Amino acid sequence: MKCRYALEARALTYRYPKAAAPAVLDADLTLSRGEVVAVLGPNGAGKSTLLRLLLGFYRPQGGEVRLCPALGVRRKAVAFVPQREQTLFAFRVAEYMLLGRTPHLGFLASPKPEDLAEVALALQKLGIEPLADKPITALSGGEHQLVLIGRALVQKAPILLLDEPTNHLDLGNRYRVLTLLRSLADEGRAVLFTTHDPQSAAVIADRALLMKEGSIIVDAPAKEAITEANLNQLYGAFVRVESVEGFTVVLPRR
Amino acid sequence: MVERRTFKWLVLLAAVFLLGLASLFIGRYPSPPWMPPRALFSDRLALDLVLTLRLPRVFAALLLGAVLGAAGLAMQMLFRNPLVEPGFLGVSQGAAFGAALAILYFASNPFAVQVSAAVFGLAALGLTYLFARRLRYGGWVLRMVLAGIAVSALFSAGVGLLKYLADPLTQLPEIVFWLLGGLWATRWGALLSILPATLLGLGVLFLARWRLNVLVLEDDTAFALGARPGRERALLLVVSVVAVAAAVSLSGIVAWVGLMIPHLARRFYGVDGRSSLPASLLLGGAFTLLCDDLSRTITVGEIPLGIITALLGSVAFVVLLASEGQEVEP
Repeated sequence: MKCRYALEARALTYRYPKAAAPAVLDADLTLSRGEVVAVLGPNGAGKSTLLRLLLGFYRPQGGEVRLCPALGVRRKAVAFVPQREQTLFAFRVAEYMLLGRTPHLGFLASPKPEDLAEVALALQKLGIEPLADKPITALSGGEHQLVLIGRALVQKAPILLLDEPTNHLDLGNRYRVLTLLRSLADEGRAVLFTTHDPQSAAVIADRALLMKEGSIIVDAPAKEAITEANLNQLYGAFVRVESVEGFTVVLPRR
Repeated sequence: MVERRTFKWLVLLAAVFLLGLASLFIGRYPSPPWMPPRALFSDRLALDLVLTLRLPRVFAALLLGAVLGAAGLAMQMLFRNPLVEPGFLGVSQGAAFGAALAILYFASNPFAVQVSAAVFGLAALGLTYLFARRLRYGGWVLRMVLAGIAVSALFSAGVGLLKYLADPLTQLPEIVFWLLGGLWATRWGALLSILPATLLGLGVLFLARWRLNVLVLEDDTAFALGARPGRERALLLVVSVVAVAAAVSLSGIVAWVGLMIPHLARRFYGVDGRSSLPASLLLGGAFTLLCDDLSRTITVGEIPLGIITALLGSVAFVVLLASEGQEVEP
C-alpha cells in the first residue's frame, strides 16, 4: 500500500499538565520522503513539543499522528535526534551509535556482528571513522551532533526528526550539518527539524512551518514562508529578507 | 587489541578464582595469617573449619560483593548518576531498622534478624516509591532521590530510637555490630536462604547489561529507540534492590562497595554495560572477599567488614577520581 505522506498529523493539540495554555494547538502537517521541512519559531513557540508529539512520546489530547503503515512500526520508522545529550557516562562513539540498533533487538538481547557493521557504515558515511574510539564526552559540539545523526542512521529509519540540530554550532559545523540533512533527504528520507534560526531553514528546507504560541501560522514552500512580513510577525523583530543569487538571506533592518 | 581485552578478562577471572581458593587457607587457625593446605588431611578440625565456616563465608563474601557491585552499576546507569549507590532509596536504613527491631524484640534470632532486615529494606523502597509519586517537584529521578533521603532519615531516626531503648550490655553491641556489617555469622543455611533473590537479581542484570546503555539516555530518546524507559527502569531497579536487600540481610551494612566498584569497572573495562556490568560483578566480589579476609585475620577479634570496605573503598574512590582519565566531568 502506498501512502501519500510518510507522516501526517491532524489537529494536534497538547497541553502540559497544569499549564494554562496549550503548548501545541490544532496543528496540521505532512511530511514526505525526499523532503526537508523546517519548523521555525521563537523560543517557547511549541516546536519541541510538536516534535515529541510526532514521535509519539507525548499523547495528544486532540488530533492524531498517522504513520504510513508501509514504513513499519514506529520505532523502526522514526528516528529522533535530540539536542546535545548531557551524560556523565563516557561511552565511546561507536558504542553510542550502536544504541541505534535497539529497535531491531529484543529486550534482553545484545548486538551482533551485523549491528556493528551498520555502525561502521554510518561512521564511514559521515566521515567520522577517526572518532570511533573517542569518548563522547570529549567531542566538540559539531562532532557530537554528527554522532547523534549517526545513531539515527544506524537505526535505518526513513523518517528523521531533529530537535534544534544546528543550535550551539559554529558556522562551519552548522552548514556541514545542514548539507548533510539535505543529502539525507535527497537519498529518500523524510527530514523534519526545528530551529529558531530562519537562515538555517532558508538554506535547505523545501517547506517551512512557522509556529507561534503553539499554532502553525504558516505552512508553505520555504521561499514563500520566509518573508519579511512573516518573520516580523513571528519574532516581533524587524528583519530584511533579500534574495541573493537565488538564495534567501535574512538580514537585520537598518 | 582483541587479545588485550581477552587478557584483561582472564586476569580478572583468575584473580577471583585464586583469591577464593586462597581465602580458604587465610585466617587465624592454626596460627595467623594462614594454614598450610596439607593440614586439611592431617587436622580434622582444620577440615571442619574450612568446610563449615570458611567455604560458605567465602561464597557469601563473593556473592555480597557481586550483588553490591552489579546493583551499584545498574543503579548508577538507571538513575543516570554516577554517585548513586545501592543503599540509597532508603534500603540500607530500612534494613538496619528491621535488623535492630528483630534484635530487640525477637531475641536476636539470626533468621528473624535476616528476614526482618530484608522485609524492612523492601518496605523502605516501597515507601520511597510512594513518596516520590506524591512529590510535586522535579523530574522522576530527582523525586526518587529526595524521597530516598527522606525515607533514609526516617528509618535512621527509628534506628536511633531502638539503640536508645536497647539493653546497653547485650542488645546494643549486637545492633552496632550489625550496623558495621560483617559475615562472621554466615553458615550454609543462611547462604542458601539468600541464593534465590541474589542469583535472580544477578542473572537479570547480566542479561540486561546492554539494555542499561539505552536506559542511560533521556526518556524521549530511549522511547524513540523502542524502549519503555519508565517501566524498564522500574523493573531493573526492583530486581537490583531485592537482591541487595537479601544480601544485606545477611551481612549488615557494607558501605562503599556499590559506589566505588562501578567506577573502577568502568575505568578498566569501559563504560558500555556489556563490559562494565560483568566487571563490576567480579570486581565487587573480589574486593569484598579481600576485605573480609582482612577483617578476620588482622586482629584477634574481628574488625567489622563494613569498616574495612569503607576504609579501602573511600581511599580507592578518591584515588580513582583524582587520577587521569576519570569519566565524571567537573
